[in-house]
Amino acid sequence: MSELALKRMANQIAANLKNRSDAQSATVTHLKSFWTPAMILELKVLAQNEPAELDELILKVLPQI
Amino acid sequence: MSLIKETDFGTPASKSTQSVTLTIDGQPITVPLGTSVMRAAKMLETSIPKLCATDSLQSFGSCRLCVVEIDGRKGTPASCTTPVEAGMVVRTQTQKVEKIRKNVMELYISDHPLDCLTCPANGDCELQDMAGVVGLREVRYGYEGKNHLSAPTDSSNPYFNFDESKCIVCSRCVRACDEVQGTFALTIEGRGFDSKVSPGGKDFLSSECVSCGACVQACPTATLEEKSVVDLGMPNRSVITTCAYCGVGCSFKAELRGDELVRMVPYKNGGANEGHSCVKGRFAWGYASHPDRVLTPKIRESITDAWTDVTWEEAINFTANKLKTIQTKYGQHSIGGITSSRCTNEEVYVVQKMVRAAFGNNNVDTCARVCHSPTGYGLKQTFGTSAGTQDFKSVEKTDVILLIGANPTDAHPVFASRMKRRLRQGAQIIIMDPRKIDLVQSAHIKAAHHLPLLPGTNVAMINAFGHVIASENLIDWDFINERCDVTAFKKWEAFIKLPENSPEVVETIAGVPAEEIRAAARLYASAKNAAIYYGLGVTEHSQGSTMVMGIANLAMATGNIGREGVGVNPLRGQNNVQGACDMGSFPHEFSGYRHVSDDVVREQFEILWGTELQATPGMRIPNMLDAAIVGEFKALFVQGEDIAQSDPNTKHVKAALVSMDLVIVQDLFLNETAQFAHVFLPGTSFLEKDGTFTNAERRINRVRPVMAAKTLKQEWQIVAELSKALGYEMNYKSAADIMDEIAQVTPTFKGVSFAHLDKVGSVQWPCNEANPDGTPIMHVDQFVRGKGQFMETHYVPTEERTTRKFPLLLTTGRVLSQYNVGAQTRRTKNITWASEDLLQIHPSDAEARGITHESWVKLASRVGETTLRADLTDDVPPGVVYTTFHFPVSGANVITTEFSDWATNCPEYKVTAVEVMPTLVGPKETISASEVDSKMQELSRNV
Repeated sequence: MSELALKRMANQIAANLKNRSDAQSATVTHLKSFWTPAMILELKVLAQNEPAELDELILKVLPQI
Repeated sequence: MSLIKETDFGTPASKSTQSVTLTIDGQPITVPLGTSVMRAAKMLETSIPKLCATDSLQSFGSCRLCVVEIDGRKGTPASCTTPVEAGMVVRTQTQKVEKIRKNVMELYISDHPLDCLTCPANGDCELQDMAGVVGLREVRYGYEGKNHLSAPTDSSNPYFNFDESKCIVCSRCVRACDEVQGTFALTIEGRGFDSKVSPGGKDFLSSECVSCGACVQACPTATLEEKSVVDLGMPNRSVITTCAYCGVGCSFKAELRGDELVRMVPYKNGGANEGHSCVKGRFAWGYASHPDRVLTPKIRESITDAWTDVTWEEAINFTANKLKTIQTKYGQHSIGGITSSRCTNEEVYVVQKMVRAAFGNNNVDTCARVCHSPTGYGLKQTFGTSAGTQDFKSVEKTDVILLIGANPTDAHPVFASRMKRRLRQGAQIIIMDPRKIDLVQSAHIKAAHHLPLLPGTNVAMINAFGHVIASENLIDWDFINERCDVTAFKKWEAFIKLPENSPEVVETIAGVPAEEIRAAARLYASAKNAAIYYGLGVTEHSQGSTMVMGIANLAMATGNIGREGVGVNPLRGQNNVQGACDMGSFPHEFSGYRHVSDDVVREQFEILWGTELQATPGMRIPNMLDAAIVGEFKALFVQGEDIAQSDPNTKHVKAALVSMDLVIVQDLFLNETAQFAHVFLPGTSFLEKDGTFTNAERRINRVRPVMAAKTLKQEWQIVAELSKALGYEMNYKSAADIMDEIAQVTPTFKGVSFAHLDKVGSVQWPCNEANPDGTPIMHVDQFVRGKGQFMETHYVPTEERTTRKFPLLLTTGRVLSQYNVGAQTRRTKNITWASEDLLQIHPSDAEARGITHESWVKLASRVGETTLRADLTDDVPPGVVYTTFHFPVSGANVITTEFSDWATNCPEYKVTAVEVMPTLVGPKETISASEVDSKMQELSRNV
């Protein structure tokens, strides 16, 4: 996956879930349910290398995935 | 099978629950109150002669052929217009009525061409039949008097003739257009002897007629006759099958003469359509035998090479070897497949099985990704399963329809006719759509509220509805307390009451006055039965899934779930969208919407399929395309789809396809995607397929082979052979075997088999021990997930914004005569009505840009540009433009962007910031220097 696509998808998920009362658990469930292991791995690498590019919610929940 | 003729009871069935007993020709019979004498007689198998009556239309009483005698009544009442009464004694065959009938027939025949032997309707003409039934032996009036025999024939419609000389002015066609189709295109013009059927204008083609065929079907003579019957002769056998177009999934009688298809006639016993049709299903089937059909497999090493025709065996081996090589080099997850909603459940099932079992990954997705994947997500979250809640018939009990982002008169015409009938009976409709669609105002229809919201603001609008319902206490508390998760409801209630969701705030976002929103929300919430119907104007947004959940919230909050007349009803674009999704086409789910990570479910498949399966989701279509561009995804099997035309941001799609080492296309035609393919596997048309389709109301219908496969193979056989060549064998002997396996592994399909469908006609899933004949209405006593789940639906504006450079918003859709990327309808005479994609633009936006009606315009977004003709209309509001994507030459998806739904990646087709400007030439047009001068002058005048 391209970093740009990955980043856009992750941040969009965060934007749509972050105001929900179950924001963290909903984000974890969503990523586990619909993302391939390779995409999650790439997202983790991205979070390490360029954390500023990702929404805080994504950074918060990644360790749980 | 011989030609199927459904019984015609003459008048519609009464829905009364009260019974009446009467005697007809000495035989007692008990029938529902309100039944006509004609129908009651037919129920006793007594056929009263008739011409103007047919049971799809209300009785009319004009032909006077059906007169009877009733004890104690004066005269000879028409049996079609006389309702039964308790104790009534009816005599259908007396000297008196026989004399009247014979005289009536003499009058008809005295003004009718006596060309029965050469008439195309010979053998299928009710006038001819009735002449025989009444024993007509002479016409005392002669044939020399004033008559209509020289009246002209109107052949303007590409599919049927109107031969006025044969017309008996029974008004069946006029009434069919009014009552069945609801278009009101026909009328009786003139008085007395001059009375004639008229399409209201010059001819049928230039009239309001939508070519649904209802008039042709209703005509008792050869006045309205299919041109195919005129050309080929009367059919002599029928095969019951299912239409291959939209998600209504109409049942048809394919009527053949030998092995040649003569016509498609809507089947009265079809649960979805009950004898009605549209121009596509009824007439636009010629593509199946179009010369463009490819019947021989083709391969090539590179997409720059010419195609080589090969045998099936060579094609399969070539493909399998390439796939194996790619997986060896790039890994198990470097290949995948896409299933198609145009294919049968059985064909889809084997493709997803091939991907999971033979490819060894879950990289399978379906074209529903780009249409209704948000429906799957949203309804599963809230109700527990990914399907609409009602049958189509349910709308007959609806008092208020909330129609969101759908244009049924164009995209789901047969269901639209049901809807219009209910509206004429007094139901009200609220339309949430930027465009002024037909249902906003058309013959005998006027929407109670039209909310022309700005594209991209659906969620804000549905939240405003929720806000009004919650803050004005229009909530159905009994339903909430008994049927829903109360904790989740309370969270939703607190959220929805926030000021940010008020109509007054939403007015500033969506551009619809707050009072109009409040009034519409109150109307929906206060109806006895309110139903929501929606289309891709809901799903194809960056918040498509959120919107579906918002819709579900609304239905639950008002208790509009679990009975007739209510519900949440996605109108599916293609005939088997529901089925393709049901069959496990999504990368995270097995058939029946069960996640691949569920060990119990996965083990069931592993045991049955004899192989280990992946427990983690595979890639979605956009993931596959993105991965291809960065070199991680190398081969794609594309079943019956044309992603190079249908998917957004064509440039991106083409770049991805070019990046792959192997693209396999299984289709009828060398479509746009095939330009990037290395293998072409010819597919079968719906007339050749053997299987099932599942329509938008979860109705599983048989698709029966009307003719032998022109490719000599069913599509599932080709996939099974490819799978075998890859080392994973599928041992199916027939499509019925595949359905048996589907039933074995899919709880909602447990009771489904071809034998059962042949017996009962069709079933709506869930079909199991508890519901052997299916489930028309879902969530009756409880939701599939148990308690209904309210979801917080925060409005997040799309990232796609208008700018100074791109100040307009483009939205896309479909026209009546064309279908999706047009692969089928472009190859039929439907191009008579639409031969190009047009850009609808408001006259004020056009004027500001110097654009005139039908002039060429350049349509540009930040990702691409195309050229098409302008259609100036106030059907679109200022600031919004609209087009279709039926024609590759205009390539509307060159314009659409990579933005997609946050939860499902369904593309945001409905919101693209664009600019429109005049241009001199069309996409492939060349013009002379003088024409350029002339156009330049015209433009100068207009600017």
